[in-house]
Amino acid sequence: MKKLGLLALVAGIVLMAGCAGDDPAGPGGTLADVSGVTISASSAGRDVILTWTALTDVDGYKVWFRATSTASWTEVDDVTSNTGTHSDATSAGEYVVTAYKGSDSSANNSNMVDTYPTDVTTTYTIYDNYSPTTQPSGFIFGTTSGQTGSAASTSFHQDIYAFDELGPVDGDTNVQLLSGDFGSFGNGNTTWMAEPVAAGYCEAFVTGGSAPWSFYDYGLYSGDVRVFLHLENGNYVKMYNIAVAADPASDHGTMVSFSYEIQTNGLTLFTSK
Amino acid sequence: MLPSFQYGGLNMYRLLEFSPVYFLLVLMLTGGGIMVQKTEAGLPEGLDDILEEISSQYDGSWGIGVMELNTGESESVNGNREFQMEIPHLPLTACGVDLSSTGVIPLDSLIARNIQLWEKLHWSQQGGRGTCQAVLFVMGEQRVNDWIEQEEFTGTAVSGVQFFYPDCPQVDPNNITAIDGLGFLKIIYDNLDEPYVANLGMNPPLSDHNRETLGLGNSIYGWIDETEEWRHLFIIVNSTQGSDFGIVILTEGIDDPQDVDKGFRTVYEALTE
Repeated sequence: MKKLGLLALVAGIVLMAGCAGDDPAGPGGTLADVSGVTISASSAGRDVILTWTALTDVDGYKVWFRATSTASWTEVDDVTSNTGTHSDATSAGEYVVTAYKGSDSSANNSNMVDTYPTDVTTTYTIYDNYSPTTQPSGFIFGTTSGQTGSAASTSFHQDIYAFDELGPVDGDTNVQLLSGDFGSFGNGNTTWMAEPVAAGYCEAFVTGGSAPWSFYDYGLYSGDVRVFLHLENGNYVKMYNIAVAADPASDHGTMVSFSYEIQTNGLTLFTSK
Repeated sequence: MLPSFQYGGLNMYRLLEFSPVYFLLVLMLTGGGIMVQKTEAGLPEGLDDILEEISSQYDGSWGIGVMELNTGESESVNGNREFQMEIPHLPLTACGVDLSSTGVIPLDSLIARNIQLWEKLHWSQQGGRGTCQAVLFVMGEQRVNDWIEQEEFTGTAVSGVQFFYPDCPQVDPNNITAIDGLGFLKIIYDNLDEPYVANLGMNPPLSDHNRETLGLGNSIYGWIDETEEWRHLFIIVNSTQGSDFGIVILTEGIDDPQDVDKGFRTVYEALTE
């Protein structure tokens, strides 16, 4: 009897593992796999729309999401058509789709797509107006790499630049991030900034700069590690690993170091960095 | 601690608390009743001679203006002479108040990270060069100067604030006249009851001499503009009794800034004694 109980326990564990509730397909399904999953160009902000090739003779589809490649899958939509939406996502991540009919499901996950931003991990440094002019003050957020330059230069059309409007104080770390088209060196591009409420997302930009996109003059506080930006070309950026320090090469200058993630598809979703 | 107020063994304070006299006294002291009416005496006789005397008594060039702010009655000497202004906080403040009252840019507009327009205007009044420049960028130099022209402040020009960091842009001089200064003070005075307006000119960076002159009891709103070459005073005296005055003293080429304070005292005493 004891042996029978042990056998039942082992069988139960195997069954539970096999079901793998957070693994959408898993072994055991007999339905065809979903294919052709893509992220729709209609996706915007925090709403990710996925489409795929429809299957015949299925009851519906489940859309699964995970924020990192090692996280568990979470069901975010259950639809009967070949379009699903992950609404109000709180971070970028990966998606797969499975079909189901009754209690049966696809044998495997669909192809995987993701909403990860491009991560430009290079550490860039820009300097405020009290640093030597040989130091770059402006920055352009490229889709694969960034570019520093002098905001004072009329040929460098920066997205943002560092500026200290509070005046020179020895060793100070006062610095604002200014929109490229604002202030003394405003010959660049319009950039709006938003205070981060979470690492993984920001709200979509509202034309005219309604909250939280209220800032083209964004004073950095000590302890700030990230800020979101909406660029003139429509891309969203998250500056992360922000570090503000006095510029050792000058009496009053301040330098701002950072890396950034950039979304070029209208989504406002980022990683947890 | 209240001074002793005994009569025949009775504490008259206690007695007064239960009498109609106490009620009337409270009304009088708080200005909340009809017992105290400001007497709008207007400008004193012979003020023009006093202003002339001050302007010729000290070194340098002087422009002096005085206005009874309730009636708009004014007196000036060299009232239309243009004086250079280092930080154009007063014209910007008057423009900001007017644009706010018409809903163009409300004073509580969020113009930088966690900073409303009125706050930056107040920091400008406290001598913040960069914040004054930032306000000008927000309000728009063209719009400000259009407003100045529209309101017929013909002796005033606002160009910005000259910075001193490496290779900073050169800014044209700002100008103002005593008569225009009075006009700006009048706009602010007329809107003192509007939200945030009273904050704009509070706690002006007056000299000890000025503070001693003004004494206690009146509400003072002021803007100071000072360099090695000049010291300009723009003061609203919102008195608890009697007339409310706007006083403008503009100077150029003075040897001793204290001369301005002495001149201010003479003007103030002529108005109040």
